[in-house]
Parts: sequence; structure tokens; C-alpha cells
Amino acid sequence: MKFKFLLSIVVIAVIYYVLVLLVKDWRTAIIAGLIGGTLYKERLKSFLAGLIGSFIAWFALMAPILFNEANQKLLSIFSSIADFPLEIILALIFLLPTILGGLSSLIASTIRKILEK
Amino acid sequence: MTFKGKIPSVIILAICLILVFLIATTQLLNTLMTYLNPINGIYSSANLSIQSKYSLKGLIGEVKIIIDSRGVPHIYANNDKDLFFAIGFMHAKDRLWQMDIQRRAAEGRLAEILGKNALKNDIVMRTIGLWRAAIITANYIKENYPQYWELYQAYADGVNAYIDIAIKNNNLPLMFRLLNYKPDYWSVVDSIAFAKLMSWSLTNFYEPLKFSLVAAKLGSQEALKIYPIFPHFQENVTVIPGNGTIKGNKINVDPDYLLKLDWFSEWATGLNFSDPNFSNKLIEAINNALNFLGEDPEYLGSNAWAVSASKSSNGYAMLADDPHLGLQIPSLWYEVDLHSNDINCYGVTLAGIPPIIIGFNNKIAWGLTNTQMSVLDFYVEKINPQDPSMYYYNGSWHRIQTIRETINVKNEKPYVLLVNTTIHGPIITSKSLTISAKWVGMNVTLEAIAIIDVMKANNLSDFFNALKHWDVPSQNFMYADIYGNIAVIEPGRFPLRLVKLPNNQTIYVLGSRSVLNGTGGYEWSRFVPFELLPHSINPQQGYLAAPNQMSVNKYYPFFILGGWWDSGSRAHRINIILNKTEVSPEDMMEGQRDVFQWDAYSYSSLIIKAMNMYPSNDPDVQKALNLLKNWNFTMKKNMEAPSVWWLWVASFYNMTFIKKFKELGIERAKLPHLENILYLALNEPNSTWFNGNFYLTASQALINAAKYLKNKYGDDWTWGKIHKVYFEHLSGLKALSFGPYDEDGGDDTLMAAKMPLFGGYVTHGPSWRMIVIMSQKPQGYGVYPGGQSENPVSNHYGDFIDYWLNYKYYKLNLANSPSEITDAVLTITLSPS
Repeated sequence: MKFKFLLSIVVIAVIYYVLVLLVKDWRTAIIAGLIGGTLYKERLKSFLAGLIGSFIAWFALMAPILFNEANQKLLSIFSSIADFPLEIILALIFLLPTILGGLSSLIASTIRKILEK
Repeated sequence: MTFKGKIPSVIILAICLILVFLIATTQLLNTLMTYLNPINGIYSSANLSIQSKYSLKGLIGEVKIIIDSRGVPHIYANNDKDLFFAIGFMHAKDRLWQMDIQRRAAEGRLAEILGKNALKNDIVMRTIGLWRAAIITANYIKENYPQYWELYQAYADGVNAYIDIAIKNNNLPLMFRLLNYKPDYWSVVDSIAFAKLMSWSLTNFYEPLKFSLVAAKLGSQEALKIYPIFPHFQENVTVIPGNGTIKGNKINVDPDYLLKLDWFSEWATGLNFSDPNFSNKLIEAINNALNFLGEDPEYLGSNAWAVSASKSSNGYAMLADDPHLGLQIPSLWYEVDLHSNDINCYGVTLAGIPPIIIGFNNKIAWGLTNTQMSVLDFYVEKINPQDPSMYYYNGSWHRIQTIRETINVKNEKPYVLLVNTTIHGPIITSKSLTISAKWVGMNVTLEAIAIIDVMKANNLSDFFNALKHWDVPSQNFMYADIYGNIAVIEPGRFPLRLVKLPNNQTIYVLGSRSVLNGTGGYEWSRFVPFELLPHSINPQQGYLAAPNQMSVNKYYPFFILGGWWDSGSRAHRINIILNKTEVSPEDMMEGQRDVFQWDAYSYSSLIIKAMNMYPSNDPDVQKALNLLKNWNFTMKKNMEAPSVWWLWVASFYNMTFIKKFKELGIERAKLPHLENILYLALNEPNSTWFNGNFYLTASQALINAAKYLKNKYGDDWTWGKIHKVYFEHLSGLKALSFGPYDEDGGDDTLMAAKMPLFGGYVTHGPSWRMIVIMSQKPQGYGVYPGGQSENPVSNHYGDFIDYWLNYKYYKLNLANSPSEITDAVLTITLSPS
């Protein structure tokens, strides 16, 4: 069971990572979540796998950017331009793809459940 | 399979789908994630991938660019074409968005990227036709001066080489990313168009319209009273010392007779200002025209002076220059050190225009200030009442030409503008009366080639020869060289009109003081010949100064009718600073940071007299008066007296001219200079302009100023609290701007820092301070507020601002060989592919 959970996290993370690189669109978390979510029927775990998988992929992509001094400066300028606190902007950057991955995974597992019943 | 058991799942599915849909399609979230996503977000605009070597098409040989610790490129090329290519490459690397937005402003193409909010600017620019003028100028240069055109084309090639690299590496500057567009390729026309915009912004004086408002409403005598043709108190401080004769040539009519004439009357303008029907129509038309055209260069100005070797403390000629232009971010200026087979030159360029505008080479130094001479006239056209598409000129009806301009507007349908033109130029209003504008820059002008030759000049003769091509904006070119010479010349195309005087004599007049009759007879007939341009070489006084004051004295061969000189305050002050036995480099720097307020010095005794005549016991008024009495007239940010002075000026204007203009429905009339008001106050203290009593009004103005200061600032009236400088980003975004900072100076101090009369920041001032000592190896010092890069995360984004605020200078390293650069941080080699 644990293995399957880990597997779906890895599948979602890898698919999302590759898709973002190829398609250059953060919303590809939907596709990754939908694919990974089909591995699972249990909705909560499926949701969690989607969350964690897309978070890992997104973090792997964002980390080199956030640890760069010039980018930190740029983000702070961006938050001033947008007139929005930097903390909230950072939270949104990470939350949005993560939630999208989680929800998409949940959708996949729910569809699977409906069809299997 | 029953439906009943599946309801919870279906509901969960529906909720999830809705949430996913909302998150994925919400515009705001998508925009945020587009900007900040790790793959193609804005980060790449901050991290330029600059290589040390590039192979590029268009180069003839190898070019070495050494960038120093301040971000200044020192460029070494084997020929001028490669040099210009490299300037283009560096301009684009450091200022691409600025270049793009500036050319768009000139060409009337801002709405393409900014939407309909920018349409008004585009309509004005397309009507004036800077883009059209740039196209004919570029074509003319290509045909007649191909060797110069090739340099501008090489520059464009350099810009475009960088654009290709930036697009390929996803390295376009931040503003392109935020506004979501990519730059078009650069062309020669773009450089010329931006040069035309600079020319327009330095010569678009609307005084003939503004003076006409007063003449139409109150009669010509009142207009001449507050706008004298020869400014009061400036006879002894003209740019060109002496009585105005040039090479023995002088005007053939008594200038004092000319100065007393009514230049608004029918013999001078062809218009009847005393006809109430015409005057009312004219006022309506002018108000409409001024609303259309927007602001004129009220805040612009400059200082330049030169001291001869015989007068300088070190035995070398010296030159100082500080053009007072917009204090914008990115700065107007970009520093460069240029070297090729025949150019060795250091100075500042305008991003988008390759030659150095102000700078020095191994032999000469030069600086610029605006001459303020009139090169823009306005004509009242006679329209055929039967057929409004015809206008009358020189005895017959002519058809109004229409130019169709299509302005692309972001997210909207293109806007089609029909520009109507007459023989004079574009029609700027057709409301009540039809008025057209005629400006020298609307035609082919050749300053783009003149300035290249200036960079190459080795002596005064080369320098003057180069300036034979300089057309617009007319400038005071201040000069100093290593041979100890100093000079000033005012090159430009100054239009002359032949006028028959009431005494039947005919003379040539330069410029105009009012709108003119457009039916013929009041036309430009020639231009001032080069040899009779105002100039002075090695004057006996040992120095020359040109802070936008009256150019030349009354006996100049042509009668100068149109010129919009600044108050002579700065001229008086710099003459005092320079009129001593020896002038040191430190004196030159002191001059650039001098904040002595000449007008306050001139007015203080009158204000004190007014308060003695009409005293007030109010403690705040007493405080204000004591501050003025004990003041040394310096506008220091930590003093309180400057606030009292400035508020007195604002209050005085408000109680007199502003009030009067408002009552008369001519709010856009020009506020007269303080020096001319002073003359009126001394000679006609009971003038209606002063509500019948200058001293009572002056006293009341101080009372109002004290009240205002107390109410708004309590007991702390420190000037720096009121007077602040703000370096605004071209986008207007505060996050990319600098300031506000407390600031010294004020209106008409040498360290110019004029703020709007009724509040606001100082946004114009010394945009580049330069001092050059013309020793065998010239030593330059300079600073501009800003930094070399437009990249907001670069160390060179605003690194000069502190130095500028504290009146410090950087040493300008004219490095004739790379070995003279001791602070190199990066070398880029460009080689032909």
C-alpha cells in the first residue's frame, strides 16, 4: 500500500516536472494529477499524492530560482509592483500548482471509483 | 450499478472540477504564475547570460569592450562602423526597453503596447509628425551623406544583434515581460525619431500662443509689459559678451526703437488683436490648441560655462556643463568611452542615439545648453467659408492636405487619424479659428551628422566646421581645448522673417511673439547664416557662461523677437562666481552645487518694506519675516527660510497673475518671470497686475505663506520637508523609481531643482554634471543620477544616485588604451561571423 502511495507521488512528480519543462505551463499539474490519480481509488490518499507529487516537482523547479540573490531581489520588486506582500506571493506560487495537482488527482480517483462501482 | 450510491462521488467530482477550472482559468492567478513560473517567468530578465565572446554578422573586424566597475563600457574598434555597431550592442544590452519606449513616444506608437490610455500622446506626436520628419531626414542622409548613414545603420545592426541574442536566451528586459511584448528591430529612422523628440521637447515653446492670449484679452501694451522682448536686468549677462555685434555686423535700425514697437499690431502680425470678435475667437482657438499640445519645456534648462587658461588657477582651460532635463529612471544618459581610428572620446550618449552628445576627447571638451530661441511659429489660417477643405495663401485658395495615420491600439481596433496640413505645417486646432504650427524640425535636419564630427574635432576650427550642420535644437555649444581656448557658439536653423516697420524700414526678425497671419507675408524667408550666428571666442573677461539667459545683446544683426529665455538669476550668479582673478576646479564644482537664490536676494528688501508698511503681529508672520531678514539666500534643504520664500512666490503669483488670468478665462497664459515682475514693481507699483498696490499684495502674500506653512507643517518649516526630488521610472512604477529625497536648490538656482508651484516633486534638474580640465591629458569628472543598467536587480541600476545627491563626481576615464583601465570587471569581444 505504502509502495503504491509512493509510486503515485513519484509518477505525478516526474510527469509534472517533465511537462512543465516541455509545455512551459504551470497548469500541466492537471495532467500529471489526472494520470497519477488513476493509480488510486482511495480519494484522500490520491489527493495527498497529487499534492505532494506536484509540490515536489514544483519545488525542484523553483528552488534554484529562489536561492539566487538576483531573483530574490526581482521577486521583492515584483511584490512592490503588484502591491502585494511577498510572503503571500510566495505562498501562492507554491500553493497553486500543488492544489491543482492534488485536486486533479482526486478527480481521477473519483472517476475511477464511479466507473468501478 | 445504481445512481443513488454514487451521489457523494459525483458531488466531490463536481466540486473538484469547478475548483480546478477556477484556479486554471482565473486571469489574475494565471498572470501571476506566468510571470513567476520557473521556466519562462521574469527571472531570465534579471540574469543576463552575457558571454565573453560573440561572433556577429555586420562587423568588419574585432571589437573589444571593457566594462569597468561602474558599468561604463570602454570600446576599442578598428574603424568607426564597428565602433557604432558596438555602441548599439551595449545600448541594447543595458537599455533596450528604454530605447523602445522612447522611440515609440517619438513615433506615436505607445498605444500599441500600452492601450488607449496612451492614445492622446500618440495623436499629438503623429500630428506634429516627428516620425514623418525622421523618415525624410534618414532618407536624405542616406542619399547625401552615405558615410554617416552607414554609421547609424551599423549602430542599428548592433542593437539588432543584441535583440536576437536576448530573444534567443529569453533575456529581454523586465518591462518587456511585464508588458508582454517583444521589441521590433531597430532602424536608422528610430534613432533619428528619438533625436527629433529631444529636439521637439527642447524647442516646443508655446509662448507665441500664450502671449497672444494676454494680448487678445488685455491689449498688446499689457502683454509687452509683462513679457518684455529684451528681458529686464540681462543686458550685462548675455551669453555672448558685448553689445551684440558679430564680426562688425550690427542691426541697421535703432534697437531701442524696435523694442518699444507694438509687435502684436497688424503691421507685425497681419492680425487685428484689437477686434473683439477676432480676439474672442483667437482665445478659444488657442486654449484648444494648448490643451491639445500639452506642456511645454517649463522645467528644462541647463548650465554651461568655460574658463580660459589665463584665468584658471591651474593654467588650463576648464569647462563645466549640467543639462537640466528629466531626472528619470533609467537616466536619459549612458556613459561611454569610445575609441577607433579617428575617434577617441568620452562622454554621455542618449540611449538610442550613438554619438556622444556632451563630452571630451584628447583635444577638446564641449557642453550644451538650450539657447531658448524661437524656431516654432503658429499661423492663423484663412479657411474658405464655402469649402472648408481650402485655405488661402499668397493670393489663391489651396487644398488642405490630409495625411492618414493609423495608430494601432492594444486590445482595440486601430485608430485612424487624419492629419490636416497647410503650407506651414499640421493644423493643431480648427475650433473657432484654424491654427497651424511650423517648426524647423519638421523638415530634414542634420544634427545627427554634426555631432559625429564634433566627436572627431581636434581644435576650434574643426568644432565650428562640424556645427555648420547643426540644425535643431539650437544649442549654446560651450567649448574648451588643451591649447587654452574657450568659445561658445549657438548653431541652429534660426528662421528669419522680413518685416516692414511702421517707419517703412525693413528688417529681418528672428522668431515671433504672437500667432501670425497665415495668408502670406509673414513667412520665413531665410535662416541666420552660419557666420552671423551668435558666438564668442576667448573673450577678454576670460570666461563664458550660458545658463539659458538672453543670448546676445541688442545690436545683434537680426532683431530677436522670439526667444524664451530663463530668468537671468543663474546668469547673474555664475558671473559673480567666475568674475574673480583665478578660478579653480573646486570653484567649477562649487558653481554646479550653488543654491543661491538671486530672485530672493533681489526681492527681500521689497518684502521687508512691504511688511513695514503693512505689518502683522501674528507670531507666524513674524517668524517668516525674521527668517527672511536673517537669510543668506541659499536654498539649503535644512533651512526654513527657503520655504518662506517659495511659499511667498506661490502666494504672490496666486494673488496676482494666476487670479487675473483665471478671471479673464486665459488660465494657460504664461506666468511672467520674477525679474520682469520686479521691474514692474519698481516702476509701476500701483499696476492693476498687483491689485493696485504691490506692497499691500506682497505683505498679504507673506501672511498667506506663513499661515499655509503653519497649517501644513506646524512649527517645522524645513525646506527639505517640502522640497523633494523623485527619480521616476519611465513606466511610472514606484517600485522601480527612487526617492523622494530631501533636496537643496530651487527654481533658478544654479543647482536647479524647480518644483511645481503648488506642490509636487522635483522631477527635472542636473541630469549630467561634467567638469573637464583641459590639461595635456584632459581630466574629466562627472556624475548623473541613475546607473548604466535598466535592469532593476543590477548593481548598476541606481548606483550613481548617492553620489549625485551628495554632489560628488566620478573620475571620467578617457582610456586611450585598455591598459589605462584599472577597474575592468568584464571584457566582451565581438568578432565578425
